Amino acid sequence: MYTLKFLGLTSLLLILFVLGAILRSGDLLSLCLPLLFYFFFAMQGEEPETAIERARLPKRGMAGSILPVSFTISVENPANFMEVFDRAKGVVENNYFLLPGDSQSECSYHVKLRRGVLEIGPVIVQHYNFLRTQFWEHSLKTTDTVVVIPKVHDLKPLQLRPRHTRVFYGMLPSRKAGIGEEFFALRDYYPGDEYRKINWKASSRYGQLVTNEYEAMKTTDVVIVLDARRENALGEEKTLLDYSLDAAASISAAVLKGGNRLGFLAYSDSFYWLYPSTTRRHLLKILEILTDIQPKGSFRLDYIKNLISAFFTRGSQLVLISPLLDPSSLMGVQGLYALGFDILVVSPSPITFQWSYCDQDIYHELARRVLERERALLCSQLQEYATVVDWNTEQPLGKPLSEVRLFRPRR
Amino acid sequence: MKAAGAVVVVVMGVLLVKVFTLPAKYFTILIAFLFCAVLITLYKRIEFGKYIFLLFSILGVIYLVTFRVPRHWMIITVTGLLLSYELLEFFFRHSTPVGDEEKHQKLIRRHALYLVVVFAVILGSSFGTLFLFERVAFRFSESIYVNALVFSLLFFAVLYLLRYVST
Repeated sequence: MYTLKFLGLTSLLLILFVLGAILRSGDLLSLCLPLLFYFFFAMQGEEPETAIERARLPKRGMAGSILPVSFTISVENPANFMEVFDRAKGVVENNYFLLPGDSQSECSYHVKLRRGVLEIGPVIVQHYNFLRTQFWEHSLKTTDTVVVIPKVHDLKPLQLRPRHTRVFYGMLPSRKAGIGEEFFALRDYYPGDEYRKINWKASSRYGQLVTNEYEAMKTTDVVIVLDARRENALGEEKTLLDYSLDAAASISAAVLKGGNRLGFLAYSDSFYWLYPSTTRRHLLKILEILTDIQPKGSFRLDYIKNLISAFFTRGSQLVLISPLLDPSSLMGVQGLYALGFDILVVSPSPITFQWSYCDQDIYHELARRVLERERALLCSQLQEYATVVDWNTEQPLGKPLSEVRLFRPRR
Repeated sequence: MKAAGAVVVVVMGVLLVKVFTLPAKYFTILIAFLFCAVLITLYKRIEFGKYIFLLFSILGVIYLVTFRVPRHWMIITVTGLLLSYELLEFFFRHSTPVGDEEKHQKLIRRHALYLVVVFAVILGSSFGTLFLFERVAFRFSESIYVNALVFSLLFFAVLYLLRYVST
Protein backbone atom coordinates (compact mmCIF):
# COMPACT_ATOMS: atom_id res chain seq x y z
CA MET A 1 0.00 0.00 0.00
CA TYR A 2 1.11 3.52 -0.68
CA THR A 3 1.38 6.07 2.09
CA LEU A 4 -0.02 9.58 2.17
CA LYS A 5 3.48 10.88 1.54
CA PHE A 6 3.63 8.97 -1.73
CA LEU A 7 0.24 10.28 -2.82
CA GLY A 8 1.30 13.84 -1.96
CA LEU A 9 4.53 13.43 -3.90
CA THR A 10 2.71 12.03 -6.93
CA SER A 11 0.16 14.84 -6.88
CA LEU A 12 2.89 17.47 -6.60
CA LEU A 13 4.80 15.91 -9.46
CA LEU A 14 1.72 15.72 -11.68
CA ILE A 15 0.69 19.30 -10.93
CA LEU A 16 4.19 20.60 -11.70
CA PHE A 17 4.41 18.54 -14.85
CA VAL A 18 0.99 19.60 -16.14
CA LEU A 19 1.63 23.25 -15.27
CA GLY A 20 5.06 23.11 -16.92
CA ALA A 21 3.55 21.58 -20.04
CA ILE A 22 0.64 24.03 -20.21
CA LEU A 23 2.77 27.11 -19.53
CA ARG A 24 5.61 25.73 -21.65
CA SER A 25 7.91 26.53 -18.73
CA GLY A 26 11.29 24.84 -18.81
CA ASP A 27 11.84 25.98 -15.20
CA LEU A 28 8.82 24.05 -13.96
CA LEU A 29 9.78 20.99 -15.96
CA SER A 30 13.34 21.09 -14.61
CA LEU A 31 11.85 21.36 -11.13
CA CYS A 32 10.13 18.04 -11.82
CA LEU A 33 13.46 16.27 -12.38
CA PRO A 34 14.58 15.69 -8.74
CA LEU A 35 10.98 14.84 -7.80
CA LEU A 36 10.78 12.39 -10.70
CA PHE A 37 13.94 10.55 -9.64
CA TYR A 38 12.79 10.62 -6.03
CA PHE A 39 9.50 9.11 -7.27
CA PHE A 40 11.51 6.38 -8.95
CA PHE A 41 13.04 5.31 -5.62
CA ALA A 42 9.71 5.76 -3.86
CA MET A 43 8.15 3.18 -6.21
CA GLN A 44 10.65 0.46 -5.30
CA GLY A 45 9.44 -2.47 -3.20
CA GLU A 46 7.51 -5.71 -3.39
CA GLU A 47 5.00 -7.11 -0.94
CA PRO A 48 6.82 -9.33 1.57
CA GLU A 49 5.35 -12.59 2.86
CA THR A 50 5.44 -12.72 6.61
CA ALA A 51 5.07 -15.50 9.19
CA ILE A 52 5.00 -14.69 12.91
CA GLU A 53 5.48 -17.32 15.58
CA ARG A 54 5.23 -16.58 19.28
CA ALA A 55 7.01 -18.61 21.98
CA ARG A 56 4.57 -20.26 24.41
CA LEU A 57 3.58 -18.25 27.43
CA PRO A 58 2.66 -19.66 30.86
CA LYS A 59 -1.05 -19.66 31.75
CA ARG A 60 -0.45 -18.23 35.21
CA GLY A 61 1.94 -15.69 36.62
CA MET A 62 2.48 -13.90 39.88
CA ALA A 63 2.06 -10.13 40.29
CA GLY A 64 5.35 -8.26 40.39
CA SER A 65 7.27 -10.97 38.53
CA ILE A 66 8.83 -10.44 35.12
CA LEU A 67 7.41 -12.35 32.16
CA PRO A 68 9.69 -12.73 29.12
CA VAL A 69 7.77 -12.50 25.82
CA SER A 70 9.41 -13.42 22.53
CA PHE A 71 8.37 -14.09 18.96
CA THR A 72 10.05 -14.79 15.63
CA ILE A 73 9.28 -13.04 12.35
CA SER A 74 10.15 -14.85 9.13
CA VAL A 75 9.91 -12.79 5.94
CA GLU A 76 10.23 -13.78 2.33
CA ASN A 77 11.26 -10.93 0.06
CA PRO A 78 11.76 -8.44 2.95
CA ALA A 79 11.35 -4.67 2.55
CA ASN A 80 13.89 -2.15 3.84
CA PHE A 81 12.75 -2.17 7.45
CA MET A 82 10.05 -3.43 9.77
CA GLU A 83 8.09 -1.69 12.46
CA VAL A 84 6.91 -4.26 15.00
CA PHE A 85 4.49 -3.69 17.84
CA ASP A 86 3.13 -6.26 20.25
CA ARG A 87 0.14 -5.14 22.27
CA ALA A 88 0.40 -5.91 25.97
CA LYS A 89 -1.22 -4.23 28.94
CA GLY A 90 0.73 -3.57 32.09
CA VAL A 91 4.21 -2.31 32.69
CA VAL A 92 5.92 -3.16 29.45
CA GLU A 93 9.54 -2.48 28.59
CA ASN A 94 9.90 -1.63 24.90
CA ASN A 95 7.43 -3.77 23.03
CA TYR A 96 8.09 -1.61 19.96
CA PHE A 97 10.82 -2.63 17.53
CA LEU A 98 12.43 -1.09 14.47
CA LEU A 99 14.25 -3.84 12.65
CA PRO A 100 16.23 -4.05 9.41
CA GLY A 101 14.56 -6.07 6.68
CA ASP A 102 16.15 -9.46 7.34
CA SER A 103 14.65 -12.80 6.42
CA GLN A 104 14.41 -13.85 10.08
CA SER A 105 14.23 -11.64 13.15
CA GLU A 106 13.72 -12.45 16.80
CA CYS A 107 12.08 -9.99 19.14
CA SER A 108 11.90 -10.25 22.90
CA TYR A 109 10.84 -7.97 25.71
CA HIS A 110 9.69 -8.17 29.30
CA VAL A 111 6.37 -7.47 30.96
CA LYS A 112 6.16 -6.69 34.65
CA LEU A 113 3.00 -8.52 35.65
CA ARG A 114 0.12 -6.77 37.37
CA ARG A 115 -2.76 -8.57 39.04
CA GLY A 116 -5.63 -9.47 36.70
CA VAL A 117 -5.95 -11.04 33.31
CA LEU A 118 -3.16 -10.00 30.96
CA GLU A 119 -3.78 -10.24 27.23
CA ILE A 120 -0.72 -10.27 25.00
CA GLY A 121 -1.15 -9.71 21.30
CA PRO A 122 -1.87 -9.23 18.46
CA VAL A 123 1.58 -8.68 16.98
CA ILE A 124 1.49 -6.08 14.22
CA VAL A 125 4.32 -5.97 11.67
CA GLN A 126 4.54 -3.13 9.15
CA HIS A 127 7.11 -3.35 6.39
CA TYR A 128 8.31 -0.04 4.94
CA ASN A 129 10.73 1.12 2.33
CA PHE A 130 13.31 3.61 3.59
CA LEU A 131 11.49 6.60 2.07
CA ARG A 132 8.30 5.46 3.85
CA THR A 133 6.25 5.76 0.68
CA GLN A 134 5.00 2.17 0.71
CA PHE A 135 4.01 -0.17 3.53
CA TRP A 136 2.61 -3.66 3.96
CA GLU A 137 0.94 -4.72 7.19
CA HIS A 138 0.77 -8.20 8.67
CA SER A 139 -0.45 -9.30 12.06
CA LEU A 140 -0.63 -12.36 14.27
CA LYS A 141 -4.22 -11.99 15.37
CA THR A 142 -4.24 -14.62 18.11
CA THR A 143 -3.84 -13.32 21.64
CA ASP A 144 -2.36 -15.11 24.63
CA THR A 145 -3.90 -14.79 28.06
CA VAL A 146 -1.97 -14.92 31.30
CA VAL A 147 -3.86 -14.95 34.60
CA VAL A 148 -1.82 -12.94 37.07
CA ILE A 149 -2.46 -13.90 40.68
CA PRO A 150 -1.44 -11.69 43.62
CA LYS A 151 2.09 -12.06 44.93
CA VAL A 152 2.39 -14.94 47.40
CA HIS A 153 5.13 -14.25 49.96
CA ASP A 154 6.79 -17.29 51.48
CA LEU A 155 5.77 -16.89 55.14
CA LYS A 156 6.85 -18.86 58.17
CA PRO A 157 4.02 -20.75 59.94
CA LEU A 158 1.64 -18.16 61.39
CA GLN A 159 1.79 -17.46 65.10
CA LEU A 160 -1.86 -17.95 66.05
CA ARG A 161 -3.28 -18.95 69.39
CA PRO A 162 -6.96 -19.74 68.81
CA ARG A 163 -9.30 -20.53 71.69
CA HIS A 164 -11.00 -23.29 69.71
CA THR A 165 -9.17 -25.94 67.74
CA ARG A 166 -10.22 -28.98 65.78
CA VAL A 167 -9.57 -32.61 66.76
CA PHE A 168 -6.84 -33.13 64.15
CA TYR A 169 -3.20 -32.66 65.02
CA GLY A 170 -1.48 -29.74 63.36
CA MET A 171 0.86 -26.89 64.14
CA LEU A 172 -1.13 -24.56 66.41
CA PRO A 173 -1.03 -24.69 70.23
CA SER A 174 -4.48 -25.83 71.37
CA ARG A 175 -4.50 -24.96 75.12
CA LYS A 176 -5.17 -28.67 75.75
CA ALA A 177 -2.91 -31.51 76.84
CA GLY A 178 -1.86 -33.89 74.12
CA ILE A 179 0.95 -34.62 71.69
CA GLY A 180 3.26 -31.66 71.46
CA GLU A 181 6.59 -30.24 72.52
CA GLU A 182 5.74 -27.33 74.84
CA PHE A 183 5.25 -28.03 78.56
CA PHE A 184 1.59 -27.65 79.53
CA ALA A 185 0.95 -29.12 83.04
CA LEU A 186 1.80 -31.81 85.61
CA ARG A 187 -0.39 -34.78 86.50
CA ASP A 188 -0.21 -37.98 88.51
CA TYR A 189 1.62 -40.88 86.97
CA TYR A 190 -0.55 -43.60 85.48
CA PRO A 191 0.78 -47.03 84.63
CA GLY A 192 1.70 -47.07 80.98
CA ASP A 193 3.10 -43.50 80.89
CA GLU A 194 6.49 -43.20 79.20
CA TYR A 195 9.40 -43.03 81.66
CA ARG A 196 10.93 -40.09 79.81
CA LYS A 197 7.82 -38.04 80.57
CA ILE A 198 8.20 -38.47 84.33
CA ASN A 199 9.23 -35.20 85.96
CA TRP A 200 11.72 -36.55 88.51
CA LYS A 201 12.28 -33.26 90.33
CA ALA A 202 8.53 -32.70 90.82
CA SER A 203 8.11 -36.36 91.82
CA SER A 204 10.70 -35.98 94.61
CA ARG A 205 8.99 -32.78 95.75
CA TYR A 206 5.47 -34.35 95.83
CA GLY A 207 6.61 -37.73 97.11
CA GLN A 208 4.87 -39.61 94.28
CA LEU A 209 5.46 -40.03 90.59
CA VAL A 210 4.38 -37.05 88.51
CA THR A 211 4.27 -36.88 84.74
CA ASN A 212 4.75 -33.89 82.40
CA GLU A 213 1.90 -33.04 80.06
CA TYR A 214 2.51 -31.22 76.81
CA GLU A 215 0.34 -28.80 74.90
CA ALA A 216 -1.30 -30.50 71.95
CA MET A 217 -0.63 -29.02 68.54
CA LYS A 218 -3.86 -29.00 66.56
CA THR A 219 -5.41 -27.49 63.50
CA THR A 220 -8.10 -24.85 63.49
CA ASP A 221 -10.54 -23.10 61.20
CA VAL A 222 -9.08 -19.88 59.87
CA VAL A 223 -11.26 -17.42 57.99
CA ILE A 224 -9.73 -14.67 55.94
CA VAL A 225 -11.90 -11.56 55.83
CA LEU A 226 -10.74 -9.15 53.16
CA ASP A 227 -11.77 -5.51 53.06
CA ALA A 228 -11.89 -4.50 49.36
CA ARG A 229 -13.89 -1.30 49.74
CA ARG A 230 -13.40 1.60 47.36
CA GLU A 231 -11.01 3.37 49.79
CA ASN A 232 -8.48 0.68 48.84
CA ALA A 233 -8.00 2.22 45.39
CA LEU A 234 -5.19 4.42 46.74
CA GLY A 235 -1.98 4.32 44.71
CA GLU A 236 -1.06 4.25 41.06
CA GLU A 237 0.97 1.35 39.76
CA LYS A 238 0.23 -0.86 42.76
CA THR A 239 -2.79 0.05 44.84
CA LEU A 240 -3.38 -0.43 48.53
CA LEU A 241 -5.80 -3.23 47.61
CA ASP A 242 -2.99 -5.03 45.78
CA TYR A 243 -1.01 -5.07 49.03
CA SER A 244 -4.06 -6.39 50.89
CA LEU A 245 -4.47 -9.09 48.24
CA ASP A 246 -0.79 -10.04 48.49
CA ALA A 247 -1.28 -10.41 52.23
CA ALA A 248 -4.46 -12.47 51.74
CA ALA A 249 -2.76 -14.80 49.24
CA SER A 250 0.36 -15.23 51.39
CA ILE A 251 -1.57 -15.87 54.60
CA SER A 252 -3.89 -18.31 52.79
CA ALA A 253 -0.91 -20.30 51.55
CA ALA A 254 0.73 -20.29 54.99
CA VAL A 255 -2.51 -21.34 56.76
CA LEU A 256 -3.12 -24.22 54.37
CA LYS A 257 0.52 -25.31 54.63
CA GLY A 258 -0.06 -25.73 58.38
CA GLY A 259 -2.90 -28.20 57.68
CA ASN A 260 -5.66 -25.83 58.84
CA ARG A 261 -9.02 -25.39 57.22
CA LEU A 262 -9.36 -22.08 55.48
CA GLY A 263 -12.50 -20.08 54.79
CA PHE A 264 -12.65 -16.87 52.81
CA LEU A 265 -14.87 -13.84 52.67
CA ALA A 266 -14.21 -10.61 50.78
CA TYR A 267 -16.47 -7.60 50.56
CA SER A 268 -16.33 -4.90 47.91
CA ASP A 269 -19.46 -3.97 45.94
CA SER A 270 -20.51 -7.61 46.36
CA PHE A 271 -19.50 -10.58 48.49
CA TYR A 272 -17.13 -13.39 47.64
CA TRP A 273 -17.02 -16.32 50.03
CA LEU A 274 -15.79 -19.89 50.27
CA TYR A 275 -16.56 -22.38 53.01
CA PRO A 276 -13.56 -23.73 54.94
CA SER A 277 -11.55 -26.41 53.21
CA THR A 278 -7.98 -27.68 53.17
CA THR A 279 -7.03 -28.65 49.64
CA ARG A 280 -4.65 -27.07 47.16
CA ARG A 281 -7.57 -26.68 44.80
CA HIS A 282 -9.23 -24.55 47.47
CA LEU A 283 -6.17 -22.27 47.50
CA LEU A 284 -6.44 -21.92 43.72
CA LYS A 285 -10.11 -20.97 44.09
CA ILE A 286 -9.16 -18.26 46.57
CA LEU A 287 -6.39 -16.98 44.27
CA GLU A 288 -8.88 -16.91 41.41
CA ILE A 289 -11.19 -14.68 43.44
CA LEU A 290 -8.29 -12.47 44.50
CA THR A 291 -7.33 -12.02 40.84
CA ASP A 292 -10.72 -10.52 39.98
CA ILE A 293 -11.51 -8.32 42.97
CA GLN A 294 -11.62 -4.58 42.34
CA PRO A 295 -11.82 -1.82 44.96
CA LYS A 296 -15.51 -0.94 44.99
CA GLY A 297 -18.46 -0.65 47.32
CA SER A 298 -18.89 0.70 50.81
CA PHE A 299 -20.09 -2.15 53.04
CA ARG A 300 -19.30 -1.64 56.71
CA LEU A 301 -17.59 -4.23 58.90
CA ASP A 302 -20.23 -3.92 61.64
CA TYR A 303 -22.78 -5.02 59.02
CA ILE A 304 -20.55 -7.79 57.64
CA LYS A 305 -20.05 -9.33 61.11
CA ASN A 306 -23.51 -10.88 61.03
CA LEU A 307 -22.72 -12.50 57.71
CA ILE A 308 -19.44 -13.89 59.06
CA SER A 309 -21.14 -15.41 62.09
CA ALA A 310 -23.79 -16.93 59.79
CA PHE A 311 -21.31 -18.54 57.39
CA PHE A 312 -18.44 -19.62 59.62
CA THR A 313 -18.19 -21.54 62.89
CA ARG A 314 -17.98 -19.34 65.95
CA GLY A 315 -14.62 -19.70 67.65
CA SER A 316 -12.76 -19.76 64.33
CA GLN A 317 -9.65 -17.69 63.95
CA LEU A 318 -10.46 -14.64 61.82
CA VAL A 319 -7.74 -12.87 59.88
CA LEU A 320 -9.10 -9.45 58.98
CA ILE A 321 -7.07 -7.80 56.23
CA SER A 322 -8.01 -4.16 56.07
CA PRO A 323 -6.29 -0.75 55.92
CA LEU A 324 -8.77 0.27 58.68
CA LEU A 325 -10.18 3.16 56.64
CA ASP A 326 -13.66 1.90 57.45
CA PRO A 327 -15.03 4.09 60.28
CA SER A 328 -16.86 1.07 61.70
CA SER A 329 -13.70 -1.06 62.03
CA LEU A 330 -13.59 -0.81 65.82
CA MET A 331 -17.28 -1.59 66.23
CA GLY A 332 -17.00 -4.46 63.78
CA VAL A 333 -14.05 -6.03 65.58
CA GLN A 334 -15.79 -5.56 68.94
CA GLY A 335 -18.87 -7.29 67.55
CA LEU A 336 -16.88 -10.20 66.12
CA TYR A 337 -15.02 -10.61 69.41
CA ALA A 338 -18.33 -10.67 71.24
CA LEU A 339 -19.54 -13.39 68.85
CA GLY A 340 -16.63 -15.58 69.98
CA PHE A 341 -14.12 -15.20 67.15
CA ASP A 342 -10.39 -14.83 67.68
CA ILE A 343 -9.19 -12.03 65.50
CA LEU A 344 -5.88 -11.15 63.87
CA VAL A 345 -5.97 -7.79 62.09
CA VAL A 346 -3.39 -7.33 59.33
CA SER A 347 -3.48 -3.72 58.24
CA PRO A 348 -1.38 -2.37 55.37
CA SER A 349 -0.70 1.19 56.48
CA PRO A 350 -2.36 3.69 54.10
CA ILE A 351 -0.39 6.57 55.63
CA THR A 352 3.12 5.40 54.78
CA PHE A 353 1.78 4.17 51.44
CA GLN A 354 0.25 7.52 50.51
CA TRP A 355 3.22 9.46 51.82
CA SER A 356 5.29 8.35 48.84
CA TYR A 357 2.71 9.84 46.44
CA CYS A 358 2.24 13.30 47.99
CA ASP A 359 4.36 16.47 48.11
CA GLN A 360 6.48 15.89 51.16
CA ASP A 361 6.26 19.45 52.44
CA ILE A 362 5.63 20.81 55.92
CA TYR A 363 1.80 20.71 55.57
CA HIS A 364 1.74 17.09 54.44
CA GLU A 365 4.23 16.25 57.16
CA LEU A 366 1.89 17.75 59.76
CA ALA A 367 -1.11 15.89 58.25
CA ARG A 368 0.87 12.66 58.29
CA ARG A 369 1.71 13.04 61.96
CA VAL A 370 -1.92 13.72 62.87
CA LEU A 371 -3.09 10.70 60.86
CA GLU A 372 -0.42 8.50 62.41
CA ARG A 373 -1.58 9.51 65.89
CA GLU A 374 -5.19 8.70 64.97
CA ARG A 375 -4.16 5.34 63.54
CA ALA A 376 -2.02 4.49 66.56
CA LEU A 377 -5.01 5.28 68.79
CA LEU A 378 -7.30 3.07 66.70
CA CYS A 379 -4.75 0.23 66.76
CA SER A 380 -4.40 0.45 70.54
CA GLN A 381 -8.21 0.32 70.88
CA LEU A 382 -8.35 -2.68 68.54
CA GLN A 383 -5.66 -4.47 70.55
CA GLU A 384 -8.19 -4.82 73.34
CA TYR A 385 -10.05 -7.32 71.19
CA ALA A 386 -7.61 -8.52 68.56
CA THR A 387 -3.98 -8.99 67.66
CA VAL A 388 -3.05 -6.11 65.37
CA VAL A 389 -0.29 -6.18 62.78
CA ASP A 390 0.42 -2.67 61.45
CA TRP A 391 2.14 -3.42 58.14
CA ASN A 392 4.38 -0.82 56.59
CA THR A 393 4.06 -1.84 52.93
CA GLU A 394 7.68 -0.91 52.22
CA GLN A 395 8.70 -3.91 54.34
CA PRO A 396 8.06 -7.57 53.49
CA LEU A 397 4.95 -8.97 55.18
CA GLY A 398 6.89 -11.70 57.01
CA LYS A 399 8.65 -9.21 59.30
CA PRO A 400 5.63 -7.66 61.08
CA LEU A 401 3.89 -11.06 61.22
CA SER A 402 6.89 -12.61 62.98
CA GLU A 403 6.85 -9.78 65.53
CA VAL A 404 3.24 -10.44 66.59
CA ARG A 405 2.69 -10.44 70.34
CA LEU A 406 0.35 -13.34 71.02
CA PHE A 407 -0.21 -12.73 74.70
CA ARG A 408 -2.22 -9.57 74.33
CA PRO A 409 -4.02 -8.12 77.36
CA ARG A 410 -7.54 -9.54 77.70
CA ARG A 411 -10.52 -7.54 78.78
CA MET B 1 20.44 10.79 15.61
CA LYS B 2 22.49 13.82 16.48
CA ALA B 3 24.44 13.19 13.27
CA ALA B 4 21.20 13.32 11.24
CA GLY B 5 20.23 16.57 12.96
CA ALA B 6 23.67 18.01 12.27
CA VAL B 7 23.44 17.06 8.57
CA VAL B 8 20.02 18.77 8.27
CA VAL B 9 21.47 21.90 9.85
CA VAL B 10 24.50 21.79 7.53
CA VAL B 11 22.35 21.28 4.39
CA MET B 12 20.01 24.09 5.37
CA GLY B 13 22.97 26.25 6.38
CA VAL B 14 24.58 25.81 2.97
CA LEU B 15 21.27 26.75 1.32
CA LEU B 16 21.02 29.78 3.57
CA VAL B 17 24.55 30.96 2.72
CA LYS B 18 23.92 30.39 -0.97
CA VAL B 19 20.63 32.33 -1.06
CA PHE B 20 22.46 35.48 0.04
CA THR B 21 24.13 35.49 -3.37
CA LEU B 22 20.72 35.50 -5.11
CA PRO B 23 18.91 38.69 -6.12
CA ALA B 24 15.60 37.45 -4.62
CA LYS B 25 15.58 38.98 -1.13
CA TYR B 26 12.33 37.43 0.09
CA PHE B 27 13.56 33.97 -0.77
CA THR B 28 16.50 34.60 1.56
CA ILE B 29 14.05 35.47 4.32
CA LEU B 30 12.02 32.31 3.60
CA ILE B 31 15.08 30.09 3.77
CA ALA B 32 16.25 31.85 6.95
CA PHE B 33 12.82 31.20 8.44
CA LEU B 34 13.03 27.56 7.37
CA PHE B 35 16.49 27.27 8.91
CA CYS B 36 15.15 28.58 12.24
CA ALA B 37 12.16 26.23 12.01
CA VAL B 38 14.50 23.27 11.48
CA LEU B 39 16.63 24.28 14.45
CA ILE B 40 13.58 24.62 16.74
CA THR B 41 12.06 21.35 15.42
CA LEU B 42 15.26 19.47 16.14
CA TYR B 43 15.97 21.11 19.47
CA LYS B 44 12.44 20.75 20.85
CA ARG B 45 11.79 17.44 19.06
CA ILE B 46 8.48 18.67 17.60
CA GLU B 47 7.49 16.07 15.02
CA PHE B 48 4.80 18.35 13.62
CA GLY B 49 7.62 20.72 12.55
CA LYS B 50 8.34 18.56 9.49
CA TYR B 51 4.93 19.41 7.99
CA ILE B 52 5.51 23.14 8.52
CA PHE B 53 8.92 22.66 6.92
CA LEU B 54 7.25 21.00 3.92
CA LEU B 55 4.69 23.78 3.53
CA PHE B 56 7.26 26.57 3.61
CA SER B 57 9.55 24.59 1.30
CA ILE B 58 6.76 24.56 -1.32
CA LEU B 59 6.31 28.33 -0.86
CA GLY B 60 10.06 28.79 -1.33
CA VAL B 61 10.09 26.71 -4.48
CA ILE B 62 7.15 28.70 -5.94
CA TYR B 63 9.16 31.82 -5.21
CA LEU B 64 12.18 30.34 -7.03
CA VAL B 65 10.08 29.64 -10.10
CA THR B 66 8.42 33.06 -10.08
CA PHE B 67 11.73 34.90 -9.99
CA ARG B 68 13.33 32.69 -12.64
CA VAL B 69 16.28 31.53 -10.59
CA PRO B 70 18.81 29.48 -12.60
CA ARG B 71 17.63 25.88 -13.16
CA HIS B 72 20.67 24.13 -11.70
CA TRP B 73 20.17 26.15 -8.54
CA MET B 74 16.50 25.12 -8.51
CA ILE B 75 17.48 21.45 -8.71
CA ILE B 76 20.00 21.85 -5.89
CA THR B 77 17.44 23.62 -3.72
CA VAL B 78 14.66 21.08 -4.27
CA THR B 79 17.04 18.17 -3.67
CA GLY B 80 18.41 19.88 -0.57
CA LEU B 81 14.91 20.49 0.79
CA LEU B 82 13.88 16.90 0.04
CA LEU B 83 17.01 15.61 1.77
CA SER B 84 16.33 17.85 4.76
CA TYR B 85 12.78 16.53 5.01
CA GLU B 86 14.04 12.94 4.82
CA LEU B 87 16.65 13.65 7.48
CA LEU B 88 14.01 15.18 9.73
CA GLU B 89 11.95 12.02 9.33
CA PHE B 90 15.08 9.96 9.95
CA PHE B 91 15.76 11.95 13.11
CA PHE B 92 12.26 11.45 14.52
CA ARG B 93 11.92 7.85 13.37
CA HIS B 94 15.10 6.69 15.02
CA SER B 95 14.83 8.76 18.20
CA THR B 96 12.20 6.34 19.55
CA PRO B 97 13.27 3.91 22.30
CA VAL B 98 13.03 0.38 20.90
CA GLY B 99 13.31 -3.17 22.18
CA ASP B 100 16.44 -4.31 20.38
CA GLU B 101 18.96 -1.49 20.24
CA GLU B 102 21.66 -3.55 18.50
CA LYS B 103 19.47 -4.28 15.47
CA HIS B 104 18.24 -0.73 15.53
CA GLN B 105 21.81 0.58 15.20
CA LYS B 106 22.30 -1.73 12.22
CA LEU B 107 19.11 -0.33 10.67
CA ILE B 108 20.23 3.27 11.27
CA ARG B 109 23.52 2.64 9.43
CA ARG B 110 21.68 1.02 6.50
CA HIS B 111 19.15 3.83 6.34
CA ALA B 112 21.83 6.56 6.42
CA LEU B 113 23.82 4.85 3.67
CA TYR B 114 20.65 4.47 1.59
CA LEU B 115 19.85 8.19 1.89
CA VAL B 116 23.38 9.19 0.90
CA VAL B 117 23.32 6.94 -2.16
CA VAL B 118 19.76 7.85 -3.19
CA PHE B 119 20.24 11.60 -2.96
CA ALA B 120 23.58 11.40 -4.77
CA VAL B 121 21.80 9.49 -7.55
CA ILE B 122 18.86 11.97 -7.60
CA LEU B 123 21.19 14.96 -7.83
CA GLY B 124 23.42 13.30 -10.44
CA SER B 125 20.51 12.09 -12.57
CA SER B 126 18.73 15.44 -12.42
CA PHE B 127 21.84 17.31 -13.51
CA GLY B 128 22.49 14.68 -16.16
CA THR B 129 19.00 15.06 -17.61
CA LEU B 130 19.20 18.84 -17.45
CA PHE B 131 22.53 18.72 -19.26
CA LEU B 132 21.06 16.38 -21.86
CA PHE B 133 18.19 18.73 -22.66
CA GLU B 134 19.92 22.11 -22.20
CA ARG B 135 23.53 21.75 -23.29
CA VAL B 136 23.28 18.98 -25.85
CA ALA B 137 19.97 20.47 -26.96
CA PHE B 138 18.55 16.99 -27.27
CA ARG B 139 14.96 16.86 -28.48
CA PHE B 140 12.77 13.90 -29.33
CA SER B 141 10.48 16.20 -31.30
CA GLU B 142 9.87 19.90 -31.94
CA SER B 143 6.75 19.87 -29.78
CA ILE B 144 7.33 20.24 -26.03
CA TYR B 145 4.31 18.00 -25.34
CA VAL B 146 5.72 15.16 -27.39
CA ASN B 147 9.11 15.62 -25.73
CA ALA B 148 7.60 15.47 -22.27
CA LEU B 149 5.45 12.47 -23.18
CA VAL B 150 8.37 10.52 -24.70
CA PHE B 151 10.60 11.34 -21.75
CA SER B 152 7.92 10.21 -19.27
CA LEU B 153 7.34 6.99 -21.18
CA LEU B 154 11.07 6.32 -21.22
CA PHE B 155 11.30 7.04 -17.52
CA PHE B 156 8.47 4.68 -16.60
CA ALA B 157 9.84 2.02 -18.93
CA VAL B 158 13.19 2.16 -17.11
CA LEU B 159 11.36 2.16 -13.77
CA TYR B 160 9.39 -0.99 -14.48
CA LEU B 161 12.33 -2.65 -16.17
CA LEU B 162 14.40 -2.15 -13.04
CA ARG B 163 11.61 -3.44 -10.82
CA TYR B 164 11.24 -6.49 -13.05
CA VAL B 165 14.99 -7.13 -12.97
CA SER B 166 15.15 -6.72 -9.20
CA THR B 167 12.47 -9.38 -8.62
